[in-house]
Formats: sequence, C-alpha cells, structure tokens
Amino acid sequence: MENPNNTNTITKSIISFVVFIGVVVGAIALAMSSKKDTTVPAPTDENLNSTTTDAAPVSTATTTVDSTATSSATSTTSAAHTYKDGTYAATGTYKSPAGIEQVNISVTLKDDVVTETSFKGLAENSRSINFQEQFANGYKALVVGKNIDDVKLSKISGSSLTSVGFNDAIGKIKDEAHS
Amino acid sequence: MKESFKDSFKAIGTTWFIDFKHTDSLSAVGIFDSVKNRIEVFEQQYSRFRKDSLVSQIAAREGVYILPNDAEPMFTMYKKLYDITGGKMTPLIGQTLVDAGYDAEYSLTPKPEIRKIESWDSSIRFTQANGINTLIAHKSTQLDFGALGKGYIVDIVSELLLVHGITDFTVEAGGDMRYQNTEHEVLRIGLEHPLDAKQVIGVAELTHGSICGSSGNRRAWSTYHHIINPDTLISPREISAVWVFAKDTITADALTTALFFVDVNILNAHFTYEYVIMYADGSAVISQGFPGSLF
Repeated sequence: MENPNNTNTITKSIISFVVFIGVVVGAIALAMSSKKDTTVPAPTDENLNSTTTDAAPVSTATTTVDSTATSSATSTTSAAHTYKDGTYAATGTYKSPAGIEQVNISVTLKDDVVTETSFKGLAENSRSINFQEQFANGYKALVVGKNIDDVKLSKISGSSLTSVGFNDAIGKIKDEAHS
Repeated sequence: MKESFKDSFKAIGTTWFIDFKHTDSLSAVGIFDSVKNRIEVFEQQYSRFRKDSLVSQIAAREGVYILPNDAEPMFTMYKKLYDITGGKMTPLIGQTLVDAGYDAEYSLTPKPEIRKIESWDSSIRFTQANGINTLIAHKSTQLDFGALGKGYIVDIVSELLLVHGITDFTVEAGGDMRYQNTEHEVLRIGLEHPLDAKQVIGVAELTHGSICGSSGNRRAWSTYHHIINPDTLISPREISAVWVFAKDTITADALTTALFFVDVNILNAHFTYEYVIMYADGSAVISQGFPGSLF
C-alpha cells in the first residue's frame, strides 16, 4: 500500500504545479495587455520579449490568482482587438514541497490567436523535474497526421523516397514471399 | 528574363529533383549535364555499392590512399561526430551494415555473425597536408558515408549551381534538400509520417537552407534499419523519425543520424541547427527556431 501522506503530497504538488501554469499564462496575458498602451516596439520572433513574474506561493493563493489572471485576459480580448503579434516569454517561480522551482513559458501570438507555445522546466529537485517533465510531455502534443492531399506542399521530406535500390530489393523480397 | 528549368533523374540510389532559374536555356541544359557528371564522379569515389569505387578498394586492402579534395569535409564531420557520440556515429559502420545484410547486392539477409566494428584510430588515419588528403588504412576497411554522403553531394551540386551564377534553386535527393531563393519565395515541405507515407505530421517552410529527414521505419529489414548502434549492434527504436534544418545539407544530414544516438543538448554545444524529433510513442518535439510547425 502507498503511504497516504506521500500520495497526498504528490497530488498537492501536481495540483499546485498545474494551477501555477495558469498563473504564468495569466501573467503573460497581463504583460501583453499592458504592452498595447506603451511605445515598446512590437516583439518579433527574433526578438524575444521577456517578462519575469514572481508567482504567489501556490498552495495558498492559487485559484484566486488564476481566475484573476484569466478574467483580465478575457476582458482585454473583448475590448475589440488586440495584442501585438509576436512571441511573449515569461519565467515564473513556484513553491513546491521541495522548494522554489522555475519554469519558462512562451506564447506566440498572431492576429490574437496563439499559434505556438513552449514550456521549459528548470527544476533542480529530481521529483520536481519529474513533474515538470510529465507536464512537458503532455504539453507537447501527440503527433497528428494529415493526408498529403489536404496540405498544400511543394516537397516531401521522409525516408520512403530515399533509396531506390533498397525499395526495389524490398519489393523483390515481398514478391518472392508471395510466390 | 529568367526562366525556370527542372530536371529529375536517378543517381546514387535515389531520385533527384533539381530546379533553378536562369536566363539562357542552352546553358541550363549544359548545367544539368555537369551536375549529373559531378554526381557520377562522387559515386565512383564513395559508394560502397560499386565494386570499382575508391571505397571498395579500401575495403579490399590496407594501404595509403590519396583521396580527392572533396574527401576532407566528410572525414572532418565524421570525426567530429565520432568524438561527440562516443564512437556511435562512424564511417566504420560499413562492415556491420554489410554483415547485417545491407550489402552491395541488397541481400538483406543477416550473416550468422555480425562483427563488432573497430575503433577509428586502430583502423584509419586521415590527414590533410599541403592540400593533399591522405587516408592510411591500417587494415582493409569497409567505409560507409551513408550518414552524410547524400547531404554532402547535395551541397556540392548546390555550390556548382552557385558557381554558374544561379542564385535561386532547389536541389533535392530523395527528400533531403537545399533551397535558396533571393525573392524569399517560401518552399513548403511536408514532413512525412514515418508509419504512413500518405500522411504528413507537419510542414517546414524554407526561404533558404537545408532540410534532411531520417526514419527508422523505412529501409528496414530483419531486425535492422539503416542506422545501427556499433556498441549494441541493434538499430535504435525509441525515435521513429528525425528532421534537421541547417544552413548546409551535410550538417542537416549528419545530425539526423546523430540525433538517433545523442541528446539535443549535447549536439547544441557544437552545431547550429533546428530539429523535429518524433518518438516511437507518437509524441514529437519541435525546436523553437524550426522553420515550420507540426499538426
């Protein structure tokens, strides 16, 4: 049987971590909304715009901070456009049972649509690394194939085209196997 | 007024597609001829699938060989990656590939004994002095340049086009390619699904540079595919496909194989490149600067 206290700690860690992600994304949203009133040049893909935020210790302030951030992001969006296109990055810290941990999150925005996100955990504690990795693994989406005919392409890069001789040989072996 | 010229042909065991813009159709024909000749010369030197090649001579007997000028970038890149990967990426894998059945006859039938490969230093020594490339083969050695040879010949052809004053071109050899366009026209390249050639998992969008891809699910036979770990003598299975973007094709091609053996963090210290790695569990990672996206 697993130690119930231990399970409880793990659950807490996961919850606080996931909520924390909400906090950081919210902080990025805030950073973006404040940006539109300033004369800061629009960030470009080459020019990462970095904001640092100290997230509140999650176990106490979590849901509140999260919902605040979300609502502020929503209200800004409803104000008829717009965030500046670009990549926004934030480094955040959160408190885990093992101590203070850090993550980097970036969001790429085009026409008010998030086109790309990335996540990087900076934990040093092995259990935190594990949680951050689990999150990162779920975070990077599973690959979804699209039919070639449905995508406009000039070229294909892959291994099926690489070796004429090899493909011929495989074909022959298959033929022999059938006869 | 510049026109587009295209040609497609088979060489070094793969299908080539080349297109470029040029003002003069007569010279375009001549350029395609010189490109094909150049590829033929390369194959004559470095293909282990040709009995008359330089590589086959080195496989037959030990000795001191004077290699052509174009040998140096290949040996330099291989030695660099040999050191970085702790010997896992090596041109000495040739004998192992032959033993496993990836031989000149494409028997695809593994021999009863797959020989472990020798170390670089105990087998060969490559030096360049006064512009002369010398290879000392301490014993008969089956070299294989498969991990970067195709990318390298794509670079050689691209540079040949540049010498002819061509600035807008695509040079593709079996899905590995180099592209350059002075008007910033984007080339959209589908990243083929390693399990289903009718599907793509994402798109690369280039205005310049090289893309190469490698997948363990193709060119597979018995328990092997075209990449074999010399330490374990098995083919890596955790990664199902890799694509690399780099400024030249020799780098892109070489790193697709290297990523089957070492972590990106190790390669990041030595090369400038971007990547997509698809794992056997169906997940994938894309580096932040990769020119393109996954679906």
